[in-house]
Amino acid sequence: MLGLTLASLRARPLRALLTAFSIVLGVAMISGTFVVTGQINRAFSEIFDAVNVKNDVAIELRTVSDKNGGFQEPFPASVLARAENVPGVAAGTGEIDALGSLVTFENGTPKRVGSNTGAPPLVFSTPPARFDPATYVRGHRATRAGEIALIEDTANKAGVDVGSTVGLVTLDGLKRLRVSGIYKIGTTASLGGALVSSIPLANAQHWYALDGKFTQVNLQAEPGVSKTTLRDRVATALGPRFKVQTGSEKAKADSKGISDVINGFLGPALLAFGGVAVLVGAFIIFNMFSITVAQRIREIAMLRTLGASRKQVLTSVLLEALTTGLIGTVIGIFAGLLIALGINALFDAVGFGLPSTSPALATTGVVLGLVVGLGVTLVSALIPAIRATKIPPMAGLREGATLPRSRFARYSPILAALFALVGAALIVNGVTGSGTASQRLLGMAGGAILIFFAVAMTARFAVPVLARIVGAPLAWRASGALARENAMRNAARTARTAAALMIGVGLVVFVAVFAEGLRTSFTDALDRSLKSDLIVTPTDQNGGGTLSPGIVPALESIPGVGVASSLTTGDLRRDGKHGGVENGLNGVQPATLGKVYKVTWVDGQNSDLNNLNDSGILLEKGEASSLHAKVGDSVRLLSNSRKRATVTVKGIYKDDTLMQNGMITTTLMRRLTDVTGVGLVLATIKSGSDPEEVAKVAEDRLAAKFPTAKLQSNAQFKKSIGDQVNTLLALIYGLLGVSVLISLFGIVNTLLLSVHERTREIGMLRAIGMTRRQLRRTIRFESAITAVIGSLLGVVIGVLFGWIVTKGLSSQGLVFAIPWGTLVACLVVAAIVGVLAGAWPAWRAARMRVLDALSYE
Amino acid sequence: MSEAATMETTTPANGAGAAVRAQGLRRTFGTGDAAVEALRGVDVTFPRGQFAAVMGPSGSGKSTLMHLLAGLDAPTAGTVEIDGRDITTMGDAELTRLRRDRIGFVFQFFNLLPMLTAEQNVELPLKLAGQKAEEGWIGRLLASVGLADRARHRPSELSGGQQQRVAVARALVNKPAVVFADEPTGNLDSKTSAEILDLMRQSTTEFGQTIVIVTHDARAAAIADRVVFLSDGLIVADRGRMSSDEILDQIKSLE
Repeated sequence: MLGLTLASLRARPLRALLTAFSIVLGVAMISGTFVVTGQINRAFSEIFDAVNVKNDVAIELRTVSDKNGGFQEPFPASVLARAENVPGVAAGTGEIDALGSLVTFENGTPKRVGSNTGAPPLVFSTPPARFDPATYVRGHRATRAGEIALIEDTANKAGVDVGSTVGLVTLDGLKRLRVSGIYKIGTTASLGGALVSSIPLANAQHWYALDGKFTQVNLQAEPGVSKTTLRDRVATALGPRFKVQTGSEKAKADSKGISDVINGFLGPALLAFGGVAVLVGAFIIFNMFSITVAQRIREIAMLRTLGASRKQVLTSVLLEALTTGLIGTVIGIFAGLLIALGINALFDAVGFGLPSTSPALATTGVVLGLVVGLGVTLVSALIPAIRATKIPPMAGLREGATLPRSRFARYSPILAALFALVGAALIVNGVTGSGTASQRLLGMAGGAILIFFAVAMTARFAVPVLARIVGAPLAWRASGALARENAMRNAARTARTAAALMIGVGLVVFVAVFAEGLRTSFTDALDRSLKSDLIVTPTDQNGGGTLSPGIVPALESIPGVGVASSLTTGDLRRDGKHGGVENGLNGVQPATLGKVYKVTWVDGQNSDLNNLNDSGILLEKGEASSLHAKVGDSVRLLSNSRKRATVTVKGIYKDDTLMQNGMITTTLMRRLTDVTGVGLVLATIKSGSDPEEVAKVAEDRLAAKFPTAKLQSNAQFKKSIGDQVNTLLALIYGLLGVSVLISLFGIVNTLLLSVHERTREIGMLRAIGMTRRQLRRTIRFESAITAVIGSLLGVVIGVLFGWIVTKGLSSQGLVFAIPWGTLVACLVVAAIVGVLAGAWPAWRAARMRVLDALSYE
Repeated sequence: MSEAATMETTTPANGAGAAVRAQGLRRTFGTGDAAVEALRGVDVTFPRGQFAAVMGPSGSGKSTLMHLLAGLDAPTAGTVEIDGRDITTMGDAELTRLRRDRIGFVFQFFNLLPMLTAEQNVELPLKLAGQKAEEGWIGRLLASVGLADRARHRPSELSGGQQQRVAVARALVNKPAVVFADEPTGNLDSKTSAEILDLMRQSTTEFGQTIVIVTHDARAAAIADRVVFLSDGLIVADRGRMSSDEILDQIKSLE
């Protein structure tokens, strides 16, 4: 049987390759995902190793959340002296790590360096020479006041060199500094694309309100003292409040901390897209094998007459599937490298640059790719293989034999209905039910797959009607009418081919509906609660307060501006009677907030906001139920640096879009956390003033002193939120695009097979007078009709999914909104791409010599 | 018929110009040592309104001759004229249009598109030309082949003989200069064969149609006004109407 299988494959190499290719992209995405995550992990490893190479022991404050690689809490400088006293210490130094954006000056106006998203702007204090891991490419270390040194990548981004002037954003205002040197750390010229600069220690401490403090202390051991021994001694000496690690331990821990965050969502997300691609590939393989089995009825029947058993027929088909699957899988695994390049490029294009080193195949990716690729191919070919065994020997002797219907064919509508119901239930449960996030997501994914299957199984009943409608505009010409008839004549096959496209389009539409709902609900919330006209946000998204507080009076001093009120977010743990929450809380200015923001009260009134003091808290509705708290109850607050406070609930309001979780006074926030800046400012414009004029003046005045502040009107702000959503959408569409590509490829495949199947018919048509051009047009139309049907089904399903999910989340403010533009675009693009997909099959059909076609056996 | 009539060629009965004229036709397949000369110099003219049969053993070149005459293939040397127009210089698109407008075909099988009704199949050449049929023309054609009541049926609902009749109707729909039929009865039983051949005979008389059939069936050739015999790429006999016995004798003498 093996010999027969191989001979059969060799005889039709193109068909075998095309089938193999269906699984290539899916496997490539899986393999590529692991290449990308592997790259990221290795990149961060390299970075953190290089940074910590001179530190034998590193000391940090142990935070409440004990996260690695995150924000470091400062501690008193006296810790350095205590650490240096530990026997075995050769030298010690204190370090400051802070966040500070860079600006360059163009004609005197500050211009921010770098993009808004991705890595944060890191500022390090210059360590003493023996602790400095940096090697200077040009210039020297920043040791004198007013100097700054930049890592090579940052200097390139800023377009500056030694001697240039740059501005550093600090909590003490914008500082103009002279670039003293440009460096690499080890061989690394970039820390994951972040902006990296270093300034003298004294400057770092003073400008970031950390006088007399360090964020990290590093030690070097005397010769003969091992790093681990020193670490243990220091840990004993300093006590449990401090986290003491060797340099390499810290490097590993920090790099793992960041990798975990990125891989925690990036890996699974990319795999999910890979899963979609694999699913589409499976549909296509199923379709291809169904067609080829049908085309080889006579051949298989002949084998049976010669004495081949059913089992041998089954083995032969499955072997063929296995072989093509193997070819496709192996190609796919290597193609994963290319996909990884593509993913990196995609992320770069939308602004989320990923750090990277050289790509390499990951073992996990290879193994998973093999298992999935081969497994899916076998499973997809199983049903066609079983149908092949049902071909009776008699079928070879008659013309026009068709595959016998399987015993279960009658039950397929019932099965489909069952799938649909279970699928819908899973999705609804995923949205509204209980269980961990990943359980529910998996449930939703499973539900979606079931619904896709259900539609694919029943689509063939809809195809005749759909083809009639979709093909109607073309039916006035012979080629269009013939194309429509061709699409309708094997409804099951057209349905299966279209179904592959339906998956990709369905997901695209679902995402579009969801995003539209997000956008609409957010803008609705803004419209409902904002009484302000202007919004000022920091252009770097890191930390909750990177605008200087001075911006509030600066705004109010501008003629035409009424009231300005600031928001500061900080991480605080809240504990009520039962239950605790740990995430961002809003610090507000009670005296002015009421003038720029309209509170929707559940229990309380506006005076409760105006009179809010340092011993009070306002809770959002969802938060109040998590904490089981009502007005009058106490809530305990705990910050990362272990400062505590107990506050009383003064009121409960509803807003899960802008003012999430709760509000305390900014003063209290500053006291508990170490956040010194503000995160957002809302301002009103006095009536009678021209809003555009005022906005322009404000923008100019702010640009000079607060270069990282962005001023927008409400309309502009809404638009920028929309833009951010669009960016994310572009990313998702890009990843889904792979699946759409595969399904289009499936259309090409099916059409090629179908053209081959109709060789004699095509010969006859050409003989009685169909021109080559008419023939090509017919096939292109057929392709377009199939594609549009697939897209139509996808649109319907996508809207349905979107509706289920948004209705389920409506309690959290999500609304159901249909992005009509996207829907129309899906259909139009499907038609265009369908025509393009038909080009090659059309060319092959027209290329046939009439005589050869007529006499084709 | 007497032996004296062996090499007689029929001349146009009414001198109205030939439907098909071929001169010096040669067709060679392959090159060099492997070259096969399927036709080695054939001259033949089919006048209007003639029902002619082309016969010969396999390898005689009869199918090749029909392909060349019908514009489905190009000769290595020689010319073919249909309706007075030299088709050997035409490009593919022009030839295709010629086949659509001036030539009708009946094949041995696979004549019809399975997803179209009988009516739609008959109309197909006109639709390809972007033309509408004259009022009632399709109906007349279907009636003349005895399938008026099956107009809306699909091929799968028709017997083999009925399918061939639809094919004949389609071949006539564009009132062609000539209808070429390649083994039209090859797939049918003797009774149905006779019906089809009668039909074709009828169209010659009723519509003045020129028909050329290629066949190895002596009974089919016996219906024709003229039988042309090919052997080894050349015409070896060109006789008027013959009985099937005479045809069988002729074939035997050629082997």
